Amino acid sequence: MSTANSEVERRLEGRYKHGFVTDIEADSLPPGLNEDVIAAISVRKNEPQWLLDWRLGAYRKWLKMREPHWAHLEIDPIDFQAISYFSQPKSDKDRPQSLDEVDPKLLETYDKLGVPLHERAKLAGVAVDAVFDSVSVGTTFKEELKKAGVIFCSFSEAVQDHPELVRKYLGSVVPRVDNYFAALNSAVFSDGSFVYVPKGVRCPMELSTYFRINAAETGQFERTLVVAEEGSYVSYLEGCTAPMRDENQLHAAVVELVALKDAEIKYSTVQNWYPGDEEGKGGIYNFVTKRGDCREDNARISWTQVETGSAITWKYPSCVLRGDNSVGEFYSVALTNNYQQADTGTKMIHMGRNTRSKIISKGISAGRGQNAYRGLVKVGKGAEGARNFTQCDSMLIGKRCGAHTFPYIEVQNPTAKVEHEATTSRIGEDQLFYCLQRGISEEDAVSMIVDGFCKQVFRELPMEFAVEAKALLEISLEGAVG
Amino acid sequence: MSALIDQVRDIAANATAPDWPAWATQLRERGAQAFIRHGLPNARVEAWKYTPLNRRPFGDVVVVAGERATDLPEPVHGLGDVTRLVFIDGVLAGVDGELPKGVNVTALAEAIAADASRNGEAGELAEWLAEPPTEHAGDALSALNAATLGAGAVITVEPGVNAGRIALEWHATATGRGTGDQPLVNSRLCVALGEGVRLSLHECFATDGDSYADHNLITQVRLSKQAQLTHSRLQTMPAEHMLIAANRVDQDAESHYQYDGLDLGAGLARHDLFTCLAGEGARCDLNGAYLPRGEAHVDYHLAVEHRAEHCTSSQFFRGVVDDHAKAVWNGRVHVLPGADNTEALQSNANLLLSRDAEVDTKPELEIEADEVVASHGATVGQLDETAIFYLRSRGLDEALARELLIGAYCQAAVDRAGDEAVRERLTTELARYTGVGE
Repeated sequence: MSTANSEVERRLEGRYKHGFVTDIEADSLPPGLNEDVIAAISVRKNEPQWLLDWRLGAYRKWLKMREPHWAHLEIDPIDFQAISYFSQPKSDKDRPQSLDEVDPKLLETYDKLGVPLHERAKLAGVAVDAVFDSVSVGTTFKEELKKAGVIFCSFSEAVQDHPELVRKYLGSVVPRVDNYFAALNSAVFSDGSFVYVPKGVRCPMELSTYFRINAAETGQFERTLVVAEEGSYVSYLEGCTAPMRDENQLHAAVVELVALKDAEIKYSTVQNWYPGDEEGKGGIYNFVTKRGDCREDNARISWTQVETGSAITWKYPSCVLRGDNSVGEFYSVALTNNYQQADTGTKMIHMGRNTRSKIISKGISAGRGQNAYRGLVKVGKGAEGARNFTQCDSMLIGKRCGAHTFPYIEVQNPTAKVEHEATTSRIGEDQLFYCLQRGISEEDAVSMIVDGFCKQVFRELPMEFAVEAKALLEISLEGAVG
Repeated sequence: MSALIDQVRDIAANATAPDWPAWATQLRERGAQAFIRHGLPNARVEAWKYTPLNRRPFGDVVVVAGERATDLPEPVHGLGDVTRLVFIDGVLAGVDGELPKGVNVTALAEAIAADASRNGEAGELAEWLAEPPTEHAGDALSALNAATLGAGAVITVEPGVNAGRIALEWHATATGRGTGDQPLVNSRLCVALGEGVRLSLHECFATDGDSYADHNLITQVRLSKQAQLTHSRLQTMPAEHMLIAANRVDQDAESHYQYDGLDLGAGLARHDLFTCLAGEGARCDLNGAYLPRGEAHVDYHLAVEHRAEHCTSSQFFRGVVDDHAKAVWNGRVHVLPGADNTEALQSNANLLLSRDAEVDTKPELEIEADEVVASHGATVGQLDETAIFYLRSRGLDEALARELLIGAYCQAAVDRAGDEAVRERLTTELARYTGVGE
């Protein structure tokens, strides 16, 4: 296996492809956090008073909260005063009216990232709302969406144009002081996406956001709110990257989904934030609160995530199954390599009758990566006939990595059926040997095995994303056999 | 709660026993300080999340007198002609029957005093007693036990001895059962088996009569190379009683520890089973069934640490939870770096029979080595209606059909018991409890 080992090491040393910095003039607030900074963000975004009050309320509570330490993570202390809480490209002052007017440098950035807005939009029929640092840069396909009655815009625009909707739903799924990082986000969030799908509308295309942290010493605190009215459907994709820097950067986002009667929301994430170098230096701290509320009967929310980036991931996309017959799903692939750490999973809170949930989690650990699945399945007293199936599998590649599983199951209703199963395994030498003697190269064999391991999750992703996810996994892992 | 802390303060102030070595006094003082610092665990303490004790009434802590009773109570172990160790209020009251050659049983207080003759130098016993008995550091109940150190026994078996079967009975003397202010008995067992020893240890509790007590027990087991211990515990305490039992087992190469538990009583029963597989090729099997009813609360916290290569562990638990009862199960397997070729299996299945009952289960895996085969499964469900229908179509009434199915469900765990006589005893008790035996 010695040849395989050197191959493995070579592959594992593969560089982060998206680690370039775009040199654009940015309008940033100086590092530091206090009520003035929050007021300054609010003023820059021309926000109404109630939103400023909302932010300040969150901030005051945040000051009294303590950073959580229960996760299976080693986190260097974060200096919240060293972070700049707002950064936007200067050219924003004369904001482009259409994509053609967008700073070509920005577009170049997206080209490098492989998100050619025009082409992608045309070919794939995807509307992209690209968030660069903290400001939404341009949204394609707005007109087409408008015809269908779908609102898809940056969060700041939504605050200006649809304040009543924002006010009604903001914080209704993730309360502003839900947890330490959500409270921080509520205080300083700078932008994000807003989606509203009216009653009975099937969103004509997949919606997509691409996040990127560009400026140094900034944090990104975006806030996404998706509301699907009765009988509507929407599929939303997000992708994330950040340039290579030696310092750790903080990303504390909040995503709220509201699905009303018979509505369905599909939310997919491919997260490829900068993971730090081989020594574990730098990288993004990805502390995200994501929660969906199946607020009325027959609602359906599905989370799919492929997590290959970030130095530390702390994220539990969850579903509150309030409406009768509502359905929650969670499909996840999390990969940690080098010194990456991930503590991720989901919560399925069954409250309505005949609610169903399904959890499929695949964790892959390589190098010195630590990967933890942490999940909660809770069946409340009133959740008659609730049903859950959970499968979480771990794959270990190498001797210095770790795979951990912490599934909490709480059942208070005697008609519920809850099943949990988990396995831990490695790529066996016998599997590899079998492939090799069939004339398949070692690299292809590993790729096949990992792909097979993750298949249940990949098939939940929209096609273009599935291809991207698979490629990402291959870049991070190809030939990685210990 | 504050009354309890005041008591522990008093205990700490009087920690010195005249004939004891300094280390033993220090252990008591450290335990008392730790308990005063932590207090009884509330729901924010992860290991006690589902079993908070801070709101539960606690009676007086019994401080050991250390005297042996002359008349031993009637046997309750039901295993026929076996030697039994009788504990009254946590204190070794006597050995009833002949101990096999090579088996030594000493009251803990005597063992500690004997250790003092070595010029106060802390020996092996000191080191042993200082080991944390649970996997979660800073456990308040273990600290409370340490604060009152003295009651209990040391059982050692010389290498190569087939020690057969020994019963271990917990009795109490306090009267006025059901008044809600039962005393709290703290006791500790230290069991060391030499190389190649075989022993079956069956623990049970006196349930008849008027006597009563809450028990906070620590059992520390050391298994030398190729030693085998089958440790069973039949818990049939009355509904007013509380049992807190922490077991720590350290295993050397190729040793085998088996735990077979059956929980049919107690208002609150908490078992911490912490097993360290430190020698190559060691194996542990932890099995149990629990059937809480009424207001009962059962909590199993298992932790198996794989520290060496080629070790095997299994956890197999079945639960049936009825009425207002609550069952908590937390199974944890931790495979440390270097513990390659580990095999670890976990299974916890539960039947939830009542609207007011609750099951909280958490099968945890922490894997830090490769070449590991580990899997776990946990389920919560109901009796199979088609099975009930089948039995009814064969002429059984519904109640009997349910009893049969419940019994069979738990029998799967009881059937795994390593000692045949114990298996029969557990089977009989299970059948009586589920109603099938009547």
